[in-house]
Amino acid sequence: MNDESKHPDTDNEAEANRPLEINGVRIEATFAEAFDMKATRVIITAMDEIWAEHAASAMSGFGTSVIDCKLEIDIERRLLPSETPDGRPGIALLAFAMSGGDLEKQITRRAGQCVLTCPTTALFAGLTDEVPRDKRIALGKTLRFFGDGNQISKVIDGTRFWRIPVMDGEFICQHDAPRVSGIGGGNFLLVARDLHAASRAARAAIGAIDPIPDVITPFPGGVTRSGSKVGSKYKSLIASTNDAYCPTLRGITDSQLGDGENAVLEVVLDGLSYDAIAEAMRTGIRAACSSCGEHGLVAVTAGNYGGKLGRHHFHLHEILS
Amino acid sequence: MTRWHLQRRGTDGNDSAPVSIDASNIRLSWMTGKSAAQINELPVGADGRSVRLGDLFELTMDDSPTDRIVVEGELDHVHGLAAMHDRGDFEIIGSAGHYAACGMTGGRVCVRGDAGDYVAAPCGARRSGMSGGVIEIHGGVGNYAGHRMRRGTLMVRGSAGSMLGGSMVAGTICVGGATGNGLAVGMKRGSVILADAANVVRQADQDEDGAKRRYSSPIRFDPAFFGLYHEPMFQEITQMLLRLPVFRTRADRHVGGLGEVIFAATAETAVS
Repeated sequence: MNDESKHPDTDNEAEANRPLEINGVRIEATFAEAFDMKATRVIITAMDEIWAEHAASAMSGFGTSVIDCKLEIDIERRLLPSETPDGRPGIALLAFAMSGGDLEKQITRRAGQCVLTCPTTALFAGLTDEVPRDKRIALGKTLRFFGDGNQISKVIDGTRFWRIPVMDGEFICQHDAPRVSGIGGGNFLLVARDLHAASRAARAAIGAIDPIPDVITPFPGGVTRSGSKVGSKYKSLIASTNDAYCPTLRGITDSQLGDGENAVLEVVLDGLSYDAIAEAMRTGIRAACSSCGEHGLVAVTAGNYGGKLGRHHFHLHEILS
Repeated sequence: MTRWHLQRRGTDGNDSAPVSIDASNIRLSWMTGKSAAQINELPVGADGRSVRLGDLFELTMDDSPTDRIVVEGELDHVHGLAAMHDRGDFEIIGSAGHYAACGMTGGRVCVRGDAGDYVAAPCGARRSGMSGGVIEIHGGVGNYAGHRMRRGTLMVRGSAGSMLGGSMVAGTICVGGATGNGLAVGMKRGSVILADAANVVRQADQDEDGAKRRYSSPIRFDPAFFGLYHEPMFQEITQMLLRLPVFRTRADRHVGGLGEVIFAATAETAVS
């Protein structure tokens, strides 16, 4: 845990509660609460960008929230041929799960069903961290058996790769990938006058966050409308709608929305470090305020659980100051 | 880190100079931590006799970013250079004798010249040849290069003699020049990459030594895995292939082998 994440919620309350506005948008004196996750980066390459994109889209499908997908995964960035292990166009994906076991299970399955199956692709680890063998995620280590004994191993510069015969030639796959600690659940909420304004602000934020390394926004288009609270009146549900920010429930439940606040969209971020998430939140919020401050974006706030769920707290006023 | 520089002492006009030197005792793992005086006392075989290393080579030691042995001079009668090399760099400036880098298990060996027979082959009575690391030969190699090789990469910019990759178990051999007879005889697994396959194709067409039956039918092949090698010499050699249609054949079918010989189709191979 780095120093920034140790800030107690009540550090210098006067400082934390001072009013803050960016381009007329109110920034609430609150914090986003994030928690520890296990993470990895994988790189998919292919003969051209189109096949790489297909494989990356498939692999990152149904990977929005650990609540039910068990994995949060998204494209981190597109890579030039000069940036990939085999000199072909590629895409880097970041994946996050609540445990090392979940991460390994999901990555291995998705690699087998979404990358191995996609024409011309190859799969590599995207992190170079030296980690013990039990903290590595099997890629080719498991997938090689698809070769039914005809797979070929190559150890190049100390790294093992597998060449698995498939119908278009060979599927090349690194033996395994490092698993590291990551942070999940960084977030901010865009409170707007109407849905159009919220949508524009969210798109501006995601557009600004996109180039930032080590961070993903795993929800569709980087944004979710179904922000959740912990628990439900139904015992089988571990999460349910965030009624405090549902405009249609204003007046019925304990709403956090005021008059003229009629649509809320949430950006959720997972990252490899506190700094990466803080940088993405800062960039995204500023972009949203700059582009929509005078066009319907009313406030920016963040989701937390009173500091009880996660140890990483991103205070909006601090990261924007 | 240390650089050990061994300069072969002059042999001009010296009739008593050894005809054959066994330098397989010169090992980085042994030299590490030893003084110059201790290293000079290392016994080295010369025409069947044991002599001091210091009698044959002039040793200098310097600080270096990596552990590195450099052997320089007239070395074509010095055999077993870099034998069982397992870490760091071993550079041979000049043409090495036989058994260069035999039994190597790791690190890097660079021969700035030619090398004799049995490069990367088993050392002494051992069963396996090279089992790790990288060998870079700037010239050509003799016969039996990569014999019983088990892992690692052998790159030869020039030509190779007969029995290249014989009884190979795994690993990668990449040759820029022509190759002799008996390529991949007894090969079980591994890869042999040839920029000039004219002789191999000719042998297979004429079924010399049953060559046609040793290889499966060549098929077009996209060697995407070449991109994983970042060695400049590997890239230099494979660039020659990649300008042409690339084929792959499996070898040695006589022993049920699943090795591969990757080569480019040229006008010469098409005609022969």
